Amino acid sequence: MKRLLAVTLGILTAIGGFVDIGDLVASSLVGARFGFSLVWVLLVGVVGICVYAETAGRAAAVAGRPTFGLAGLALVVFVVAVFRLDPSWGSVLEQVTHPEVPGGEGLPTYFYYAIALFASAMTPYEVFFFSSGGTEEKWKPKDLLTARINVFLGFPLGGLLALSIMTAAAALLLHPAGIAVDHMSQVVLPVGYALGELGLGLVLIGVFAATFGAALETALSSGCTVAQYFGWTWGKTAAPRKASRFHAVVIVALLAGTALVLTGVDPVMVTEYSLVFAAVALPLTYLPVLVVANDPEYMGEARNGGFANLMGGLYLVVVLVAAVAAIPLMIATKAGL
Amino acid sequence: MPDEDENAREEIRPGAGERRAGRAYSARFHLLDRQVVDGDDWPVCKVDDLELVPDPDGPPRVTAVLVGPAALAPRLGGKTARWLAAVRRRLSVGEGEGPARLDFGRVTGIGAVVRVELPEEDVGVHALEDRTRENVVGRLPGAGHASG
Repeated sequence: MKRLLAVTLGILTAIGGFVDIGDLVASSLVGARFGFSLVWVLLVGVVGICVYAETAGRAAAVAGRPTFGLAGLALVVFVVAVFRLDPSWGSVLEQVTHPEVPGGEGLPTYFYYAIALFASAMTPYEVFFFSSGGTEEKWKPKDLLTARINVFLGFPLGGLLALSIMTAAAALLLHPAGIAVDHMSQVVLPVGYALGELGLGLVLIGVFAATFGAALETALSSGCTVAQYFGWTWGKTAAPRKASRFHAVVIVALLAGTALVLTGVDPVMVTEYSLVFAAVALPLTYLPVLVVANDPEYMGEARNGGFANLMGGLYLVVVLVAAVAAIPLMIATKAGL
Repeated sequence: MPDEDENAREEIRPGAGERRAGRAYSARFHLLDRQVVDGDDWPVCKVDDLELVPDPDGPPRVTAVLVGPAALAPRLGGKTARWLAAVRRRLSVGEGEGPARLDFGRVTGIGAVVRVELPEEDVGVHALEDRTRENVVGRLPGAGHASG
């Protein structure tokens, strides 16, 4: 029973953790501009995050708690909206399996947004959070099963949610109408259209929870990253007095984020740029995960097997290609203009 | 991992750690930059450097874990070291403070992390931690409250 609860909460957290502001913006932006032609990137990204979150979770168990909360699940209205819009599934499948760069868009722009979408799915702080949570809750090897279920159910379900945002939002309504997503308000437009006021209300709660949760997660994640690097005492469960440097970093990160928003900078643009820079940094996160997972001193019996290494290696190549291509594509396309 | 050719490997005296038979510890690989945790698994610091004392009967002995920028700076070398040392000089009160040290007798295990047994009273390895606590975090309401 206790395990069932842990699994359910874990899955819900993984779903919520997956769909953060980055996925919200990237999915609708890409759906509106490119229709269904980039769905494959989302699928590639979801498999990638599963591969690395499982590895990182295993490392944490041998050697997240719900911060996001359940309110973000209100974003499920996007799934409802998709069904309400009742697309012709055959043609959707056709467009997904035979991606075509839409007319008027160059190939570099297509791949620039592909990288942003990929980075939104592979967001490293999901992995940080997952393994930091594991360390903090003192996962033992027997918790590994729970962790695996969370990863292999939660992240794909989160991916499904992102997919429905892309579909509802964007590919079904905005793309045919030629509306681009320049403002946060346009992200929720399709739900309002499909489900009326109630839907709009729910989606606003979901967006608020996702952005609020992401703000806290990013601040905490900055603290964890810095503290772990320098070896400081850290953790949500520690009294702030006991881990004062960690809490100071969290406060600074929160204030810096608030200050950035208060400058009036366009949040959609900030999200898009940060995703591209995240893509550049992805190999720095995932290479060490792979190295540690193969270290017998750390991992003992739970060391990476052949299949995990094959997938990990394959994704490392994908991540490297995306990282190398991100900045040149950003310059070449004038950041996707 | 027994080896003969690398001089960076230091043997730790029995009793200091969980030494497995036939396996020597490498100072560089098993100790330097490793996470140090206390008896309750709380992270304490990292191994910034080691204090070595020459032993007439054999290889030098590790007597302490050195902690903090004062220990790390000389190890890094180059511009980073000079910059780190300069920052530390400006931040520190007294002249010529040495690095904080953790006596090696406190070390109870060496593995993925270095485990130490700490006394209840402050061991003084966190100058910056103490400073942030006194000046910033400790003044906030709820600073003594542990969640979860």
